[in-house]
Amino acid sequence: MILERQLRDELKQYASSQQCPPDMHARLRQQMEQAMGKGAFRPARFRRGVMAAAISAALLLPAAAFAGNPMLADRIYGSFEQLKKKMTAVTMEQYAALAGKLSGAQAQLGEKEYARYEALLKQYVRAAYEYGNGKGYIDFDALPAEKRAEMKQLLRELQPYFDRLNGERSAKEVLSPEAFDRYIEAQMTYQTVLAQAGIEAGQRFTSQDIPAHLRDRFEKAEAVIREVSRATDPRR
Amino acid sequence: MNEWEVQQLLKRLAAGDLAAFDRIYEMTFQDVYRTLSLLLVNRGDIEDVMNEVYVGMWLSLPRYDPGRPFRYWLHGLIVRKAQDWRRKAWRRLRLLKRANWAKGTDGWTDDSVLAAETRQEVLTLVRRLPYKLRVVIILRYYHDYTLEEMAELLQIPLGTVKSRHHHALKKLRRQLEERPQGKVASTDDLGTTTT
Repeated sequence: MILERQLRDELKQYASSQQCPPDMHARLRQQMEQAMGKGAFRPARFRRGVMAAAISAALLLPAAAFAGNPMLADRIYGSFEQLKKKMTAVTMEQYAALAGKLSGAQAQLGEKEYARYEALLKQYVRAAYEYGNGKGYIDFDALPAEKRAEMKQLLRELQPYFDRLNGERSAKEVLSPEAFDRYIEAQMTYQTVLAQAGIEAGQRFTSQDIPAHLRDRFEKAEAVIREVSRATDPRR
Repeated sequence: MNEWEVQQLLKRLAAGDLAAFDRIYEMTFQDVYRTLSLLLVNRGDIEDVMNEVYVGMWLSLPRYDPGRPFRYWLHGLIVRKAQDWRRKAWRRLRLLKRANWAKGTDGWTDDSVLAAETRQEVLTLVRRLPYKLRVVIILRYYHDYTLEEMAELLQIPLGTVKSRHHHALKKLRRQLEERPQGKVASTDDLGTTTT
């Protein structure tokens, strides 16, 4: 049973080389403490954040599927090279992962719906290429009013797709029109702050990385997004 | 891990005793982390899922059955949380606010790189198995569970475990044979006789 032995050896060898980061305990402990303080506890997850920003952030997605069709990504982003020119930090692996995601979306939405989704994404990416800061975010404050309104409309139309792909309840349906508008605005603010703070899409950051004068705006936007996240949680 | 001690700790944890959490963490973190490092394809996910595991442990304490070994419960939880994480892959479209993310592309496990670094070819193939098959392989060959134990732990019928185990081994064998410059691969078909 050569294979079995090899499996045992390799799995054990690999696993024993893996070390848990030492600060993990402190982080978890803090979460636990918070949890216990609150009694009924919902994990403090920030489930969605800015979906739209995320077209670029989509690049950060780990792929569930290995075999993504690169054509799908090329259709939206032009090509990896083209994207690389705009977002220097992006890697081929990320691009491949994105293609995997898009394949998943295609399967989930079906041809016809996917075509519509793709068309919207394309528009968004074109704008991101034009107005983005090269780090994956758009500073909406810096856009001409007309362009800003156009982008906002685009985000409104994309949102139901994101919700669907995420298996969440549709924010557009759950929220009142005013609340939905606030939600889209909050996403734009969130992205604007990150753009202004010079944060690279996909990099983790802490509130320390947000300059003090932007922090209040950021937290407010974040609170709105978080609230909607709760409202659209399919488990509710 | 002493079952009785664990029971006491879980009781204290349920009552909100943080010291009990520290102790449980100390006893389990290495196992949790390492198991996840095998189950998950993306290195960047390990810490997230670890978080889910411990939070999930606390949340599901009321449903803990002291009659079953803690180890089963923990490993079952790990498998489920890793699976939930995969299901929610799309949710990761969101931008996350988390500290300590390794910069650059470090969070991406590339199979070829992994293989080159570690020369662990079977491991690379295991990572490419569908999740359900991968779980069975890891529980069987990393944790040394028997097929019966796995059925209980995963709460699925024994027949299902057997067939997954068989399929997984068959797939691995086939892939080993198909490699361009195959080394020694076992060609016997004894996949289901390992318990």
